[in-house]
Amino acid sequence: MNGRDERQQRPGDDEALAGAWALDALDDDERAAYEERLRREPAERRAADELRETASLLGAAAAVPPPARLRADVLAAVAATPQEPPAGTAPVADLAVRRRRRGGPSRWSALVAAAGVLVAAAGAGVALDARGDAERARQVAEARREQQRTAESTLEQVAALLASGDSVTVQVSSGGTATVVRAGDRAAVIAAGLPAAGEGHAYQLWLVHDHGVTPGAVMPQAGGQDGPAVALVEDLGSATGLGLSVEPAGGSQQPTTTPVVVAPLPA
Amino acid sequence: MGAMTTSRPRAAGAAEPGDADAALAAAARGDQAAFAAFYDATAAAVHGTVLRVLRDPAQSEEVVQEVFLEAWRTAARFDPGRGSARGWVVTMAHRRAVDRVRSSQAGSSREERYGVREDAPYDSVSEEVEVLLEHEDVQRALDVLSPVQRQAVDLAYYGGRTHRQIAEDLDLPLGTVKTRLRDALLKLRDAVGVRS
Repeated sequence: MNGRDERQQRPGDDEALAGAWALDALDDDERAAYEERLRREPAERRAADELRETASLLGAAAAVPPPARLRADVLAAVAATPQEPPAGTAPVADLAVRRRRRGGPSRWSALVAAAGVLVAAAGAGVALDARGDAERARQVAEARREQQRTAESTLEQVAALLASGDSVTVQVSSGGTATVVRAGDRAAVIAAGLPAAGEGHAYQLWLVHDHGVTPGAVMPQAGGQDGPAVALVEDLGSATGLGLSVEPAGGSQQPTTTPVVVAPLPA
Repeated sequence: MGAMTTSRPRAAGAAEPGDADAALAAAARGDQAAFAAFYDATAAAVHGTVLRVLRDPAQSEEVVQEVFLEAWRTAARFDPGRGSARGWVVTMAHRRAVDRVRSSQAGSSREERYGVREDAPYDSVSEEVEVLLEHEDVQRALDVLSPVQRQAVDLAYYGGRTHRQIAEDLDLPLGTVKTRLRDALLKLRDAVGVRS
């Protein structure tokens, strides 16, 4: 806690802002910069979390019970609202454990079959393009590794898959391509040239099984003007294909929109 | 930063925070009944927080509903290592309420009503807080704050003002406001026993 105010590199990157941050008294830019700082400084983050917990007591101290009907409204809305998987590219195996219901055979099986036909019709030329996408995706993976320590191991695994796995590329119905690379029980998906998912939305990966689908990673980088985006599946289990659909940015437990692509897994 | 007694920020005075934590953990696995219990344990705090900032009952109910839906959707992202479940949802509620105040035109008329002119004292806010204070730990802690610390905290937390706005409102250097807010919360923290 020193007085470095005048020497800070960027407004918000300032240890002394812990109180203002905890009280939500920073503007958006400052808050983003300060939270970036907290990600770098675990000890400061612990101290800041304490202050935020303290600040929340000011809210708790102002407690006023809401009208009773609000409870019914909230619980009715909850019953109709899908939950999101944990943030980031969590291993699919973990997400599958969290999932409570399995969907029926549904349209997914038919979509896998249809996608297989599409690949067969597209022929080997498409598969050749996959290598170009794979190389670009590898470069993206390299760049992101420097920025995101938490994603590091995932991206390394993707890079390893890109080097060793078999791939198949399918056209995405809304534009662009999805390349699936498989090595044993693991797979990576490279989404290239997809249209933007839209404000507050992101592409989410799905594992397609004979009996239904299980949720995979959300791919916040996929779509729009950015380069190819990659996601990893740690354990394919009984999956026979992978799909992508547009979901709320945090992801869903079950698809809420028609998938834009379903690709069969390479043997 | 004081004695390290447990592994997470935790308000010692909070009423049975473990109930809300356990309920939220179960809700994260899709348990709607557990989410109802989480609502029951936290709804008054969430509603009170939002109402204090927005001061409009209809808008506040709307925000409370949004907050609990967000809590349901993102329950799996709650990190118990960073604080209590009640702290998590109250923080979420406060952020939304403050965002609304800052983005809405209503903010300016609200400012006139609850403004910070020299002759429109922030004390009116503090007095209401005192009336509604839920538990004695926080009451005691607020008494520990100096009048100027309390003024700054009230303007920030209940008034939704940024630290820059507070500096302008009170004609103080920004550095002074930053320090004042931080020192006030540190004092409050020590008084109520939040520790990590």
